[in-house]
Amino acid sequence: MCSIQEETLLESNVKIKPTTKNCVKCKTAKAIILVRHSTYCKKCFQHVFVGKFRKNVEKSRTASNFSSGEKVMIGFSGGTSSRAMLQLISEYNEAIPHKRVYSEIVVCHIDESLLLNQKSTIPQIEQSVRKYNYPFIGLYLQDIYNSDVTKNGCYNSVIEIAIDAKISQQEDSTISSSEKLLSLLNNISKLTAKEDFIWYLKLCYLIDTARKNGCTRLFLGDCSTRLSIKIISLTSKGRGFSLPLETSSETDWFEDVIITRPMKDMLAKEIGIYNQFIGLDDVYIQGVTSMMHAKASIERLTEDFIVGLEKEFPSTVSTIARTGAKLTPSDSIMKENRCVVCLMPYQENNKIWQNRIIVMTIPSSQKSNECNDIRLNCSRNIALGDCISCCDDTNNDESMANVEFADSLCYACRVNIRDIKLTDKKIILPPYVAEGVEERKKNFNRKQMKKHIEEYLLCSEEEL
Amino acid sequence: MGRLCVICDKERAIIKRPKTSQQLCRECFYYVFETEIHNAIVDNKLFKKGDRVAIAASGGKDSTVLAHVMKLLNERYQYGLELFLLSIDEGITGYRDDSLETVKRNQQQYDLPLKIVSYSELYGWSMDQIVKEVGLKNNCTFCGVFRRQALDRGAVMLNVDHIVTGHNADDIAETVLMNILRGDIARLQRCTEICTTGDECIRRSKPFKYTYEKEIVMYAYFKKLDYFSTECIYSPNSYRGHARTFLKDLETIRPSAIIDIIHSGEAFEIKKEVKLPIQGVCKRCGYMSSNELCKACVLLEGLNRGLPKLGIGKTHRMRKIHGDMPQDTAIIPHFNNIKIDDNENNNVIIDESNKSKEKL
Repeated sequence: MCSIQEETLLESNVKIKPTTKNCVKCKTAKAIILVRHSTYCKKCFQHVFVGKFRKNVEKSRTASNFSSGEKVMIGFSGGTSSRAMLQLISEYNEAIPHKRVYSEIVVCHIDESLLLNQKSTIPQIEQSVRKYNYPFIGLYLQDIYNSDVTKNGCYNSVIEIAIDAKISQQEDSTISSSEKLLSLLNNISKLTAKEDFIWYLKLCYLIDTARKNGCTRLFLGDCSTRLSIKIISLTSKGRGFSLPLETSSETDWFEDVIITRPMKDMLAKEIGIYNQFIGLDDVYIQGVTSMMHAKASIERLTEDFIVGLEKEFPSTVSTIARTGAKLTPSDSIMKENRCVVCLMPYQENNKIWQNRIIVMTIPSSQKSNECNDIRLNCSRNIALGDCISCCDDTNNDESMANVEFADSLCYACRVNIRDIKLTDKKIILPPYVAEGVEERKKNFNRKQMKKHIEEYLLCSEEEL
Repeated sequence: MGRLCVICDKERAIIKRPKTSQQLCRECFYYVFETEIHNAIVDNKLFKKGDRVAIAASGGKDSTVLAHVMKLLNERYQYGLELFLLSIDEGITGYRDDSLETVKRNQQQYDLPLKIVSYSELYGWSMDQIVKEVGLKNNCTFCGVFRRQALDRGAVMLNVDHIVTGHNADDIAETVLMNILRGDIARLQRCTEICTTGDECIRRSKPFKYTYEKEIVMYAYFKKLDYFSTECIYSPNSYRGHARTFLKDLETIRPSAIIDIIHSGEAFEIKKEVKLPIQGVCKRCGYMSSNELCKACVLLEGLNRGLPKLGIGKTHRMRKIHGDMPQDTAIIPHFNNIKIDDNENNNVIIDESNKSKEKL
């Protein structure tokens, strides 16, 4: 059934196997590698590969104000792409030893072994980066619950989600970080939401660590294959608003820590070949959906879809990546509208949007709203997100906290929260989330105050 | 006794709503289904009182339910619209002739004037003839391009202000994905708009933008609406097929994915330095086009000159080989010269003769 369009494509546009067997670049050596439609010899391949990396790094250097002496951090998972990135950054920085581009390079790895109940990955990772002699920071994901992983540096409150759909700020209790993380993740019923949570916890932890260590730049190893998967999966999860920030080659969304993705023009295949050529060993890190079937999660399904499509149509990845690069963060993005969980921007009024296109009540039941709410709470106590959104009208403190919390989430995180199952176990969100909610409340209060006295203010806030 | 409906808490729940997985009774499902469409219409100010609106009717599930719901909402909320049915006869034997029978039945049931525009009347070619000429490759390109223009021309004949189409949330989500996969940045931005309108063009909108395909079928099933459900006999389209399968899988994993994709699509903004095609007018037929000639004119020229590949792939190269169009080639009549039907209040069905010819 699929044969009709493909055949024409094959005939007219795509030549899967070029007829020449020589390298397209030097034209003399015998080609041994096929990348999309071009054949390369080993030497030219490496030259082109390193060239792509340098072009991206240099572009980001000229864009930033640091002429020299920037302290940077490498987000190092141990996988193929970050392994190659570490090597490339090191080569690039040591090329002219007395004129280093980066004054200091820190390698940071986050250990998620707790989630799969496995051995820590830190010793193995440390081993593989030792020869570079860079400072190494090994973190455990559960330590995101430490009170110092906050802007404040010592923020003790956490957010607790309890069985009656109450959300409350409380003083940190005595359970260990590991238990808190496990209880949160084990109560997320869907792998899509779980994976999403894990990724943003990791990202927040990385940013925080970079900040605390005085690094002004964080290198992430997303390759073009990975980015195109991300473009589709972020779109599918409703993250289109923040997509340009999350996939661009560079973003200053986190203000003092710039995120750079120097591997964005290389295909996963190219990176694999490069690592093999120069003998770099990567560390296999198992994720929560590794080796599962394709429908385990949105991320996993997208990966399967893109990788499969790329085999059939070898320009899929590059087309998606190019489309993504043409998108830009909206002008309406505001720094203070930051989702408290993923730290990405959210759109004002996205909740109203949702309530208009998903109608949950009928007119007669709206009058007796209160009892309706309660009933909704108990009949669907698995669906927390819905409970939050329907507690708007009641006026007690608890539901106020719910509304506040729901309001400080982006659209996609609200979708995720719906997959949290409420059991008798305590479900606790890390301190940085609580800090974010608190900060938002303060901002909101100031705005209210300002509104109150607005007509008596003679000049704008900046001038005061 | 089963569970009670989560909305009214009175009736027994008989369905699990595809969009939210809520368990609802029949009446509450009707209510939320219709209200969401009503919200989409009023929030986006799709219509003005007194507008003449053509419902693009194919006889399939989407357009049948659309006709039903439009008529219902128009009466319930007093939109004050004058509704028409507009059908395109592509000339596909065993498919369109059957589905047009459904449209004619709908016309009776809903008591709305019907207009049918046929490809053979407009372009001098039916789809059956086109497929004979070009084969099964790319025939969907011809059909799609020709239909878009035929709808607009039919709308001018009916002298309406507005066309509503049955595109549902699944279609739109699929198009968002397709446009990312194809790298079509201009369409990526346009495809999530609920209402599109050119300068002088007739407005076109999609009231089902947030309505799930499954719920449309569900609605038609419970309301016992009469529709035609057969795949087009020339239909398969591989790349879109992949996207569709992917979307269905996404929906299985997370039912809100369709709405989530549309939410993403609406948020996309394009870098200012990216060049987008400028909308102009086709110099041959006057239809809107971002090139000198619109796609329909190029495709038709290809058909008439026996060069069906002319409009597919490298038009430029084909022109170099075969030269420009000879003077006497048939073209589509100019857009400005379309005659408005005068006997508008009668149920106009034209082109009965042509259709029977095609059957032979």
